[in-house]
Amino acid sequence: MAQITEAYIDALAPNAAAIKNGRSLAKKNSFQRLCQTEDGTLIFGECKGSGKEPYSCSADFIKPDSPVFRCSCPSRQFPCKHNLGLLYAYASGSPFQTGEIPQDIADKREKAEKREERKQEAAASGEPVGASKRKTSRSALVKKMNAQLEGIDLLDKLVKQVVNGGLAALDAKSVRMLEDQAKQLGGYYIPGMQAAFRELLLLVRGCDDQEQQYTAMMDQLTILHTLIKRSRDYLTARKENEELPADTGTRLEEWIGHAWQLAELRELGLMRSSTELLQLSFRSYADEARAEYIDEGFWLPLGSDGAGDILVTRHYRPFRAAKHIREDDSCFLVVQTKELAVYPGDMNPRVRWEDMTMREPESKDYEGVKAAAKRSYPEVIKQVKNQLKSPLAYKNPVVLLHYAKLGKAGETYVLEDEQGKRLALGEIDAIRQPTLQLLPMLGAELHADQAVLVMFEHQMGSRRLTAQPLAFVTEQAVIRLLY
Amino acid sequence: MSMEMLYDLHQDVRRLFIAGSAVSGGDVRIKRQLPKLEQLGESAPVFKRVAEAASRVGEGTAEQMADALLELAVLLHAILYTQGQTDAAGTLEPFEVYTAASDTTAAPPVPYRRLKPVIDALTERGPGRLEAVKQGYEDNIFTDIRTYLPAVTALEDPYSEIADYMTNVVLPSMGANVLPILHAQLNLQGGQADARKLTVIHRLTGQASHALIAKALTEGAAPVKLAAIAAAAGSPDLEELLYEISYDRKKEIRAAALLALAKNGSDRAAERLFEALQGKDAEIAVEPLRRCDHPDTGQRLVETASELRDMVTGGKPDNAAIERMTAAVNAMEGKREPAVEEFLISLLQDQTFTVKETEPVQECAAGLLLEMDTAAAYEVLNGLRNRINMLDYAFRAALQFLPREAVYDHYHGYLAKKQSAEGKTLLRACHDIVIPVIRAMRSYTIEEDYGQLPQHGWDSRWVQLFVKLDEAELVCSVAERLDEHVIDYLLAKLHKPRTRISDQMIIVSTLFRLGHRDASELLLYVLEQASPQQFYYVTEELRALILQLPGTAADRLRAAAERFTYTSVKEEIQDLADKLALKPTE
Repeated sequence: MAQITEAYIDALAPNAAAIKNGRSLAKKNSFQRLCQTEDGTLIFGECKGSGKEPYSCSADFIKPDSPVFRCSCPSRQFPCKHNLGLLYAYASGSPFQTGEIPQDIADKREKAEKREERKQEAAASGEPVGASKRKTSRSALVKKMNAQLEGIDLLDKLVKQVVNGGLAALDAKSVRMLEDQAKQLGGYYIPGMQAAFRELLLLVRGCDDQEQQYTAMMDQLTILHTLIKRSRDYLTARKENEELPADTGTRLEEWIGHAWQLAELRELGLMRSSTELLQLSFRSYADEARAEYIDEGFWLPLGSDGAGDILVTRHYRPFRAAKHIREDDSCFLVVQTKELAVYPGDMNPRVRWEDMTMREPESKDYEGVKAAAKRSYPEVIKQVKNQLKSPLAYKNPVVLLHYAKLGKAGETYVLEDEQGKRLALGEIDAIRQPTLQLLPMLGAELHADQAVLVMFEHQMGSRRLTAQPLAFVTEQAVIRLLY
Repeated sequence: MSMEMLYDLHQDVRRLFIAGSAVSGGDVRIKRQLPKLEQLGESAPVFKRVAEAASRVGEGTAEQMADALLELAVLLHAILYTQGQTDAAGTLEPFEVYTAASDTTAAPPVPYRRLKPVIDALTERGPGRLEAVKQGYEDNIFTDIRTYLPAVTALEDPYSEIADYMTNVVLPSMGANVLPILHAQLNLQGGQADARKLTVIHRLTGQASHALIAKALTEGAAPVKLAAIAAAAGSPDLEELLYEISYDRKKEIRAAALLALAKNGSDRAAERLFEALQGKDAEIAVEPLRRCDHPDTGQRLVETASELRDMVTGGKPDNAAIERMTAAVNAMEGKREPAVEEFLISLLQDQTFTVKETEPVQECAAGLLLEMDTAAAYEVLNGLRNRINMLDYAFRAALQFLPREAVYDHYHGYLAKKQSAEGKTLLRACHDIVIPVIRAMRSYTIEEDYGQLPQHGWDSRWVQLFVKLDEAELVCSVAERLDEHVIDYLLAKLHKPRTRISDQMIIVSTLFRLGHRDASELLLYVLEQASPQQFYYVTEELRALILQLPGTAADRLRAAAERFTYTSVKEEIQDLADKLALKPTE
């Protein structure tokens, strides 16, 4: 069975309140029964709730990389506090009796097994899993693309209207009108583009500094213009040529609003197998235009593959459903997954996994991370600028850098690589949380020959490409400056 | 510089975005740059593309104009985003490390979901933040370096509970980790937040901070100075400065300095306090003198007050002298010395002093004398009972030392007329005296018995008198046995319409205490006839009373609770009913 540590349970919990509640259930001895099966694959128990009957909950580790939690409580949170409490009790060494597997769980296991068998049979017979369901008819696809192209024309008109009238002319009233028109874009299968336009409108009211606001809006307009052109060309070509596959070289599909399915990514050969990842930093922010919270984790694959590029996990939680969706969190354990889906993208592709196990990081992992850090600043900067050149690329590439020296030149913190090439550090708008002020509080061992995770941002006003440190990596630990 | 040209062009494009591409047709600035761009384009193809794009700006239809402007913007974007500077000139120097001692890797890392609420609570505004900070402190989150700066920032919190909590609890626990930040951010000319920083620094470093405290005492702005004064109290090396500051322009600073000097208790400090008592600062010298433990304080207060008395009784009573005398007598609080007692007795017995103008001083003296807790003091006070402003003190003294019968004999006469001045005064005194008893009754639990209540020994005739005067609360608190007359009165009161529920509860509680056989029945009666909204929470008193009911009452109790509006009350009473049902029937 997987190693059940407190950190592992914390990571399973949907939010901080669930952790607290789960822990207090374990601490207050609310469990009337704590059992495990002889083979240790199932732990189950009964927990006192507000009702007369206790809730019976269980954690099934028959497949250690995707444990199954069951509970008779009516909570919509998953796993619920009773499941978490059960695990905390287990992790803290509370006595568990050995017991027979309850009949209902045995039944459920059997059913799951049969499902699995059928799946495998289907796979063996050569039919890809779920392929039949996803195979959309050509005519439906063409119809969809026609609608998308129509929507793009509409958006084009709106953008030109804004440019024609000038940014200074945008007031609350005209923004409201444009917002209404943006709503109409909802019917054209281009949610990503709709959100990009909404972001432009949000900028009108967002910022106090009007000059900065104009610059940001101009940037957003160039993004929209490029997006309109590229997507129009792309969709027209695909409409005409049936053979043309979906674009996996850039994030264009995502920009239009396509949500990649794991099965699609699998089909397109975008899976990496047997990967281990260590998270170096984490953040969560609200994206008003998309009306979603975005939980973002920055990971480095351990081992040779990936060549030290940082991968990103993104969990989207729509504002309206945020309560019921698991809030992602910092992760301090090494994630091991058999199958890692890598989304089309740029320097920091988005990744996702379904099944995973976790283990405690060891010092050789940290050494490996440090070794993977990039050593030549000119090369990194070239790569970063190459990405920033495209309006549709992510504006904030994240890179793990090795540095020979960390010091101050005047008032500026500076990294220096082994060739004596420098990179000035600063605070960037994308983070909106200062981290440099923490540097004097870190030990002097960080002043030379370590690795640092930085996020880049081009700052038009000062004409600088600025890097903000997010975390340091030494041989023993990851020291997070953000989360 | 050719790049400079592109930045200029970017500015022009930006200007047109703001004004609108509709007006780009008449724009000459971009056109003017065209030849130069074209010239550069001959050597660098990228400039050629820029020149081409720029040449289309302002041409054609409205849509084409917008398109041309966007195209040029895209192109400039692509070029300029590759031009960001990353270098840093100058020599690379190592920077200062604040916390060389603390090992940042020792504490377990705190995940986002636990850290974020605490950081937000410390740096943002809104409700529920103190709880988050306390939770964070309990969870040991303040060992994480990411909390250091927000923790110091929180000293500026306008919600003072958070700032106080940080000052008194969290920051002292963070120790050396936050000291460098506190030192770096401390501004002696600042406000309350800087005062708090100074307080924390002093608490963390003690003697080592005295140089800083001294600086704050001489140079600091008012709030910082006040914090420094508080920190300097009790330190002989800073007494000289405190002494100087006790002559400050601001009254609150003088007051604080005097208080700090009082803590020192040195000869010089005491001297300064008496000096203040003589002058216009008499009022702010009172509290410091009370707390001053210099051995001569009591004696000197007596001397000062005696002189003032002579001034007051000697000539025409003058207000300033009386005020100063009030201060001097007030300052005697807590000084239980024979000299003080003697003085107070002589003052109260001095006929020439007993005039209207000195009443505040007299009352103050009587109060202090009562606290002396000596037979002589009681006796003197008791003797003064015919002076209306002394009646209250006399009665309290009598209760302390006279036999209960004698108290009644001496004092019941004053209640002959409830509405007379004497009657009102004495009734008020009775109420004040029994309030602690009532309060104790309210919060008693089953384990505590009434034996622990403060006993004053009321003569049994009092209760009859209170019945006559219709003072239910007094009756309840002094009744000691099942007297028919008293019980009749209480039952009548209980059943009287519109009696407040709190009064009813006191009566029922009294009946339980006296062991009345119908007490249980009456409690159920009160619960059954109370209006459904009347109970909005279950008091300790009610809970204790309910638990005294017999097990057979459980069903009636449940039925009564069923009517109540508030579910929490309903559920709690029903829980109690469940407990009752388990009682063995006798």
